[in-house]
Amino acid sequence: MRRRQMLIASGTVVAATATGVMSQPSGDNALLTVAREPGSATESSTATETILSGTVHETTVFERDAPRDGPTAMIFGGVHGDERTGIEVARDTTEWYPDAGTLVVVPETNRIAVDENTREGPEGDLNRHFPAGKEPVSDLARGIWDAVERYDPDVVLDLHRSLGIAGVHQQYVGQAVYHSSDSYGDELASYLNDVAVPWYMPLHRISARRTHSGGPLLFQKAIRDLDATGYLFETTDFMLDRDTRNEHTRLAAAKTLALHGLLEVGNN
Amino acid sequence: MNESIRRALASPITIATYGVLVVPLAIGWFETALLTPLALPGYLIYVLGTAIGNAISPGLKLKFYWIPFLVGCYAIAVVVGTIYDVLRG
Repeated sequence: MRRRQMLIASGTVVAATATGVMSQPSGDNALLTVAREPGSATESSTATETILSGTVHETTVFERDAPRDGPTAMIFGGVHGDERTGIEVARDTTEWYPDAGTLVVVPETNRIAVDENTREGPEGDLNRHFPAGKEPVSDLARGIWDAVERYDPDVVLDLHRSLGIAGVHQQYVGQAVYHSSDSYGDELASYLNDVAVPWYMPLHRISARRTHSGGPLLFQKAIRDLDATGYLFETTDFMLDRDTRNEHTRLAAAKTLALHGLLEVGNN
Repeated sequence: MNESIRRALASPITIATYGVLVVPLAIGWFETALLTPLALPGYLIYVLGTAIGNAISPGLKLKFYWIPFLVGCYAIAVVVGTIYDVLRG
Protein backbone atom coordinates (compact mmCIF):
# COMPACT_ATOMS: atom_id res chain seq x y z
CA MET A 1 0.00 0.00 0.00
CA ARG A 2 2.76 2.38 0.98
CA ARG A 3 4.66 1.50 -2.20
CA ARG A 4 1.61 2.25 -4.30
CA GLN A 5 1.16 5.61 -2.59
CA MET A 6 4.81 6.42 -3.25
CA LEU A 7 4.36 5.56 -6.91
CA ILE A 8 1.24 7.72 -7.19
CA ALA A 9 2.99 10.63 -5.45
CA SER A 10 6.09 10.30 -7.63
CA GLY A 11 3.99 10.08 -10.77
CA THR A 12 2.06 13.18 -9.75
CA VAL A 13 5.27 15.15 -9.18
CA VAL A 14 6.76 14.02 -12.50
CA ALA A 15 3.54 14.80 -14.40
CA ALA A 16 3.19 18.21 -12.80
CA THR A 17 6.82 19.05 -13.45
CA ALA A 18 6.52 17.96 -17.07
CA THR A 19 3.34 20.00 -17.40
CA GLY A 20 5.14 22.96 -15.90
CA VAL A 21 8.06 22.67 -18.27
CA MET A 22 5.74 22.32 -21.24
CA SER A 23 3.57 25.22 -20.15
CA GLN A 24 6.42 27.66 -19.57
CA PRO A 25 5.81 30.89 -21.41
CA SER A 26 7.35 30.80 -24.84
CA GLY A 27 9.14 34.13 -24.74
CA ASP A 28 9.69 35.78 -28.10
CA ASN A 29 13.14 35.07 -29.44
CA ALA A 30 12.07 36.07 -32.92
CA LEU A 31 11.28 39.61 -31.82
CA LEU A 32 14.46 39.96 -29.77
CA THR A 33 16.52 38.64 -32.66
CA VAL A 34 15.00 41.25 -34.95
CA ALA A 35 15.88 43.90 -32.38
CA ARG A 36 19.48 42.75 -31.94
CA GLU A 37 20.51 41.89 -35.47
CA PRO A 38 21.28 44.64 -37.93
CA GLY A 39 19.30 42.88 -40.68
CA SER A 40 18.26 45.39 -43.29
CA ALA A 41 19.44 48.15 -40.96
CA THR A 42 23.14 47.61 -41.69
CA GLU A 43 23.36 51.15 -42.94
CA SER A 44 22.12 52.56 -39.69
CA SER A 45 24.14 55.28 -38.09
CA THR A 46 24.99 55.58 -34.45
CA ALA A 47 25.93 58.51 -32.32
CA THR A 48 26.38 59.31 -28.69
CA GLU A 49 25.90 62.58 -26.92
CA THR A 50 26.85 63.62 -23.43
CA ILE A 51 24.26 65.69 -21.69
CA LEU A 52 24.82 67.80 -18.59
CA SER A 53 28.51 67.75 -19.51
CA GLY A 54 30.89 68.92 -16.85
CA THR A 55 28.32 68.48 -14.10
CA VAL A 56 27.89 65.74 -11.53
CA HIS A 57 24.86 64.57 -13.53
CA GLU A 58 26.77 63.99 -16.77
CA THR A 59 25.29 61.04 -18.64
CA THR A 60 25.31 59.52 -22.10
CA VAL A 61 22.55 59.47 -24.71
CA PHE A 62 22.76 56.82 -27.44
CA GLU A 63 21.11 57.46 -30.81
CA ARG A 64 20.71 54.99 -33.63
CA ASP A 65 19.11 56.05 -36.90
CA ALA A 66 17.63 53.42 -39.19
CA PRO A 67 18.09 53.81 -42.95
CA ARG A 68 14.36 54.29 -43.39
CA ASP A 69 12.25 57.09 -42.00
CA GLY A 70 10.00 56.40 -39.08
CA PRO A 71 9.11 57.60 -35.62
CA THR A 72 11.58 58.59 -32.95
CA ALA A 73 11.41 56.56 -29.74
CA MET A 74 13.19 57.44 -26.50
CA ILE A 75 13.86 54.82 -23.84
CA PHE A 76 14.87 55.82 -20.32
CA GLY A 77 16.47 53.65 -17.66
CA GLY A 78 17.77 54.67 -14.27
CA VAL A 79 15.37 57.48 -13.52
CA HIS A 80 15.40 55.67 -10.18
CA GLY A 81 18.95 54.51 -9.59
CA ASP A 82 18.16 51.35 -7.60
CA GLU A 83 15.85 49.91 -10.25
CA ARG A 84 18.57 47.90 -11.96
CA THR A 85 16.24 46.10 -14.35
CA GLY A 86 15.46 49.28 -16.25
CA ILE A 87 19.13 50.26 -16.35
CA GLU A 88 20.31 46.87 -17.60
CA VAL A 89 17.63 46.57 -20.25
CA ALA A 90 18.14 50.15 -21.42
CA ARG A 91 21.86 49.35 -21.80
CA ASP A 92 20.84 46.33 -23.89
CA THR A 93 18.71 48.49 -26.14
CA THR A 94 21.71 50.68 -27.02
CA GLU A 95 22.82 47.65 -29.07
CA TRP A 96 19.52 47.27 -30.89
CA TYR A 97 18.97 48.15 -34.53
CA PRO A 98 15.68 49.78 -35.50
CA ASP A 99 14.41 48.98 -38.98
CA ALA A 100 12.83 52.40 -39.31
CA GLY A 101 13.03 55.67 -37.47
CA THR A 102 15.34 56.62 -34.64
CA LEU A 103 16.00 54.94 -31.32
CA VAL A 104 17.34 57.18 -28.56
CA VAL A 105 18.33 55.63 -25.24
CA VAL A 106 19.33 57.16 -21.92
CA PRO A 107 20.34 54.15 -19.79
CA GLU A 108 21.50 56.08 -16.71
CA THR A 109 19.15 59.02 -16.55
CA ASN A 110 19.85 59.84 -12.90
CA ARG A 111 23.52 58.94 -12.95
CA ILE A 112 24.38 59.81 -9.34
CA ALA A 113 21.51 57.64 -8.10
CA VAL A 114 22.60 54.85 -10.47
CA ASP A 115 26.18 55.03 -9.19
CA GLU A 116 24.99 54.99 -5.59
CA ASN A 117 22.28 52.37 -6.23
CA THR A 118 19.67 54.59 -4.59
CA ARG A 119 16.19 55.54 -5.72
CA GLU A 120 16.80 59.27 -5.47
CA GLY A 121 19.77 61.46 -6.22
CA PRO A 122 20.89 64.48 -4.20
CA GLU A 123 18.05 66.57 -5.66
CA GLY A 124 15.34 64.09 -4.65
CA ASP A 125 13.06 61.89 -6.73
CA LEU A 126 13.74 62.79 -10.37
CA ASN A 127 10.42 61.31 -11.44
CA ARG A 128 8.56 63.98 -9.49
CA HIS A 129 10.44 66.88 -11.06
CA PHE A 130 8.25 67.52 -14.09
CA PRO A 131 5.13 69.27 -12.74
CA ALA A 132 2.36 70.38 -15.06
CA GLY A 133 2.48 73.99 -16.16
CA LYS A 134 5.98 74.59 -14.76
CA GLU A 135 9.56 74.14 -15.80
CA PRO A 136 11.31 71.04 -14.48
CA VAL A 137 12.26 71.77 -10.90
CA SER A 138 15.89 70.59 -10.67
CA ASP A 139 19.10 71.02 -12.67
CA LEU A 140 19.05 67.33 -13.59
CA ALA A 141 15.41 67.42 -14.71
CA ARG A 142 16.03 70.56 -16.81
CA GLY A 143 19.04 68.94 -18.47
CA ILE A 144 17.12 65.77 -19.25
CA TRP A 145 14.17 67.71 -20.55
CA ASP A 146 16.35 69.87 -22.83
CA ALA A 147 17.56 66.65 -24.47
CA VAL A 148 14.02 65.30 -24.77
CA GLU A 149 12.89 68.49 -26.48
CA ARG A 150 15.78 68.30 -28.95
CA TYR A 151 14.90 64.77 -30.01
CA ASP A 152 11.16 65.53 -29.93
CA PRO A 153 10.20 61.83 -29.58
CA ASP A 154 6.98 60.36 -30.90
CA VAL A 155 7.19 57.55 -28.34
CA VAL A 156 8.61 57.62 -24.81
CA LEU A 157 9.18 54.48 -22.74
CA ASP A 158 10.40 54.75 -19.15
CA LEU A 159 11.58 51.52 -17.51
CA HIS A 160 11.03 50.92 -13.80
CA ARG A 161 10.81 48.21 -11.12
CA SER A 162 8.45 48.01 -8.17
CA LEU A 163 8.51 45.91 -4.99
CA GLY A 164 4.95 44.59 -5.35
CA ILE A 165 2.12 44.16 -7.82
CA ALA A 166 -0.39 46.82 -8.86
CA GLY A 167 -3.91 45.88 -7.82
CA VAL A 168 -2.61 43.24 -5.39
CA HIS A 169 -0.37 45.22 -3.07
CA GLN A 170 -1.98 48.54 -2.45
CA GLN A 171 1.01 50.89 -2.47
CA TYR A 172 2.97 49.16 -5.23
CA VAL A 173 2.78 49.53 -8.98
CA GLY A 174 4.56 46.51 -10.45
CA GLN A 175 3.53 44.29 -13.35
CA ALA A 176 1.77 47.15 -15.08
CA VAL A 177 2.01 49.25 -18.22
CA TYR A 178 1.03 52.85 -17.59
CA HIS A 179 0.22 54.47 -20.89
CA SER A 180 -1.26 57.47 -22.64
CA SER A 181 -4.70 57.27 -24.21
CA ASP A 182 -3.33 57.10 -27.78
CA SER A 183 -1.05 54.14 -27.09
CA TYR A 184 -0.99 50.39 -27.58
CA GLY A 185 -1.05 49.79 -23.83
CA ASP A 186 -3.70 47.06 -23.91
CA GLU A 187 -1.97 45.23 -26.76
CA LEU A 188 1.38 45.45 -24.99
CA ALA A 189 0.01 44.03 -21.72
CA SER A 190 -1.83 41.27 -23.55
CA TYR A 191 1.31 40.33 -25.49
CA LEU A 192 3.45 40.21 -22.34
CA ASN A 193 0.90 38.01 -20.57
CA ASP A 194 0.92 35.64 -23.55
CA VAL A 195 4.68 35.29 -23.96
CA ALA A 196 6.16 36.04 -20.54
CA VAL A 197 3.80 35.31 -17.64
CA PRO A 198 3.08 31.63 -16.80
CA TRP A 199 -0.60 30.74 -16.37
CA TYR A 200 0.18 29.44 -12.88
CA MET A 201 1.28 32.91 -11.75
CA PRO A 202 -2.14 34.54 -12.32
CA LEU A 203 -1.59 37.38 -9.89
CA HIS A 204 1.56 38.40 -11.78
CA ARG A 205 -0.38 39.12 -14.95
CA ILE A 206 0.51 42.51 -16.37
CA SER A 207 -2.24 45.11 -16.40
CA ALA A 208 -2.62 48.09 -18.70
CA ARG A 209 -3.43 51.31 -16.88
CA ARG A 210 -4.16 54.56 -18.64
CA THR A 211 -2.32 57.52 -17.16
CA HIS A 212 -3.41 61.12 -17.05
CA SER A 213 -0.95 63.65 -18.39
CA GLY A 214 -1.20 66.04 -15.48
CA GLY A 215 1.32 64.40 -13.18
CA PRO A 216 4.96 65.25 -12.43
CA LEU A 217 6.51 62.18 -14.09
CA LEU A 218 8.92 62.44 -17.01
CA PHE A 219 6.77 60.40 -19.37
CA GLN A 220 3.69 62.43 -18.40
CA LYS A 221 5.47 65.65 -19.37
CA ALA A 222 6.38 64.10 -22.72
CA ILE A 223 2.72 63.23 -23.28
CA ARG A 224 1.60 66.67 -22.16
CA ASP A 225 4.14 68.98 -23.78
CA LEU A 226 5.32 67.03 -26.84
CA ASP A 227 2.15 65.13 -27.63
CA ALA A 228 4.22 61.94 -27.43
CA THR A 229 2.75 58.50 -26.93
CA GLY A 230 3.92 57.59 -23.45
CA TYR A 231 4.57 54.33 -21.64
CA LEU A 232 5.97 53.60 -18.21
CA PHE A 233 6.66 49.91 -17.63
CA GLU A 234 6.95 48.54 -14.11
CA THR A 235 7.98 44.98 -13.45
CA THR A 236 8.28 43.67 -9.89
CA ASP A 237 10.94 41.97 -7.82
CA PHE A 238 8.20 40.25 -5.83
CA MET A 239 8.78 36.55 -6.60
CA LEU A 240 10.53 37.30 -9.89
CA ASP A 241 14.28 36.80 -10.12
CA ARG A 242 16.55 39.22 -11.94
CA ASP A 243 16.64 37.30 -15.23
CA THR A 244 12.85 37.11 -15.35
CA ARG A 245 12.38 40.78 -14.52
CA ASN A 246 14.86 41.70 -17.22
CA GLU A 247 13.15 39.45 -19.74
CA HIS A 248 9.73 41.00 -19.02
CA THR A 249 11.22 44.46 -19.41
CA ARG A 250 13.24 43.56 -22.52
CA LEU A 251 10.13 42.15 -24.20
CA ALA A 252 8.14 45.24 -23.19
CA ALA A 253 10.76 47.48 -24.83
CA ALA A 254 11.00 45.40 -28.01
CA LYS A 255 7.25 45.07 -28.40
CA THR A 256 6.73 48.79 -27.87
CA LEU A 257 9.22 49.50 -30.68
CA ALA A 258 7.51 46.91 -32.89
CA LEU A 259 4.03 48.27 -32.23
CA HIS A 260 5.22 51.73 -33.29
CA GLY A 261 6.93 50.52 -36.44
CA LEU A 262 10.58 50.80 -35.42
CA LEU A 263 11.03 47.02 -35.58
CA GLU A 264 9.63 44.92 -38.36
CA VAL A 265 8.48 41.42 -37.48
CA GLY A 266 6.06 39.24 -39.39
CA ASN A 267 3.39 38.91 -36.74
CA ASN A 268 3.55 41.94 -34.52
CA MET B 1 0.77 13.26 23.77
CA ASN B 2 -2.67 12.17 22.78
CA GLU B 3 -2.41 9.85 19.77
CA SER B 4 -5.02 11.72 17.71
CA ILE B 5 -3.24 15.03 18.29
CA ARG B 6 0.10 13.47 17.42
CA ARG B 7 -1.36 12.11 14.19
CA ALA B 8 -2.94 15.45 13.30
CA LEU B 9 0.39 17.21 13.78
CA ALA B 10 2.62 14.72 12.01
CA SER B 11 0.63 12.24 9.98
CA PRO B 12 1.85 11.45 6.46
CA ILE B 13 -1.10 13.39 5.04
CA THR B 14 -0.23 16.44 7.16
CA ILE B 15 3.40 16.33 6.10
CA ALA B 16 2.52 15.71 2.45
CA THR B 17 0.08 18.62 2.43
CA TYR B 18 2.67 20.90 3.99
CA GLY B 19 5.22 19.81 1.42
CA VAL B 20 2.86 20.42 -1.49
CA LEU B 21 2.09 23.94 -0.26
CA VAL B 22 5.63 24.99 0.61
CA VAL B 23 8.29 23.11 -1.34
CA PRO B 24 7.33 23.95 -4.96
CA LEU B 25 6.92 27.62 -4.06
CA ALA B 26 10.22 27.72 -2.18
CA ILE B 27 12.01 26.23 -5.19
CA GLY B 28 10.44 28.83 -7.48
CA TRP B 29 11.40 31.57 -5.06
CA PHE B 30 15.07 30.91 -5.71
CA GLU B 31 14.65 30.76 -9.47
CA THR B 32 11.45 31.79 -11.21
CA ALA B 33 12.05 29.34 -14.08
CA LEU B 34 11.79 26.45 -11.61
CA LEU B 35 8.27 27.40 -10.59
CA THR B 36 5.78 24.80 -11.84
CA PRO B 37 2.01 24.36 -11.66
CA LEU B 38 2.63 22.38 -8.46
CA ALA B 39 3.38 25.69 -6.78
CA LEU B 40 -0.03 27.17 -7.59
CA PRO B 41 -1.74 26.41 -4.22
CA GLY B 42 1.16 27.79 -2.22
CA TYR B 43 1.51 30.69 -4.65
CA LEU B 44 -2.12 31.75 -4.18
CA ILE B 45 -1.90 31.48 -0.39
CA TYR B 46 1.35 33.44 -0.29
CA VAL B 47 0.41 36.22 -2.70
CA LEU B 48 -3.08 36.71 -1.28
CA GLY B 49 -1.57 36.64 2.21
CA THR B 50 0.84 39.41 1.29
CA ALA B 51 -2.04 41.37 -0.26
CA ILE B 52 -4.04 41.20 2.96
CA GLY B 53 -0.99 41.89 5.11
CA ASN B 54 0.05 44.79 2.92
CA ALA B 55 -3.41 46.34 3.24
CA ILE B 56 -3.26 46.04 7.03
CA SER B 57 0.38 46.95 7.49
CA PRO B 58 1.75 48.79 4.44
CA GLY B 59 5.16 49.38 6.01
CA LEU B 60 6.11 45.72 6.40
CA LYS B 61 8.38 44.38 3.66
CA LEU B 62 6.75 41.66 1.58
CA LYS B 63 9.56 39.15 2.13
CA PHE B 64 8.70 39.01 5.84
CA TYR B 65 5.43 37.27 4.96
CA TRP B 66 7.31 34.01 4.57
CA ILE B 67 7.05 33.52 8.33
CA PRO B 68 3.23 33.69 8.57
CA PHE B 69 3.06 31.75 5.30
CA LEU B 70 5.04 28.84 6.74
CA VAL B 71 2.99 28.86 9.95
CA GLY B 72 -0.30 29.23 8.07
CA CYS B 73 0.51 26.38 5.69
CA TYR B 74 1.27 24.13 8.63
CA ALA B 75 -2.09 25.03 10.17
CA ILE B 76 -3.80 24.18 6.88
CA ALA B 77 -1.86 20.90 6.68
CA VAL B 78 -2.94 19.96 10.21
CA VAL B 79 -6.58 20.64 9.33
CA VAL B 80 -6.28 18.49 6.20
CA GLY B 81 -4.57 15.72 8.19
CA THR B 82 -7.28 15.85 10.85
CA ILE B 83 -10.11 15.75 8.32
CA TYR B 84 -8.47 12.81 6.58
CA ASP B 85 -8.17 10.95 9.88
CA VAL B 86 -11.80 11.65 10.80
CA LEU B 87 -13.09 10.53 7.40
CA ARG B 88 -10.96 7.44 7.59
CA GLY B 89 -12.48 6.63 10.98
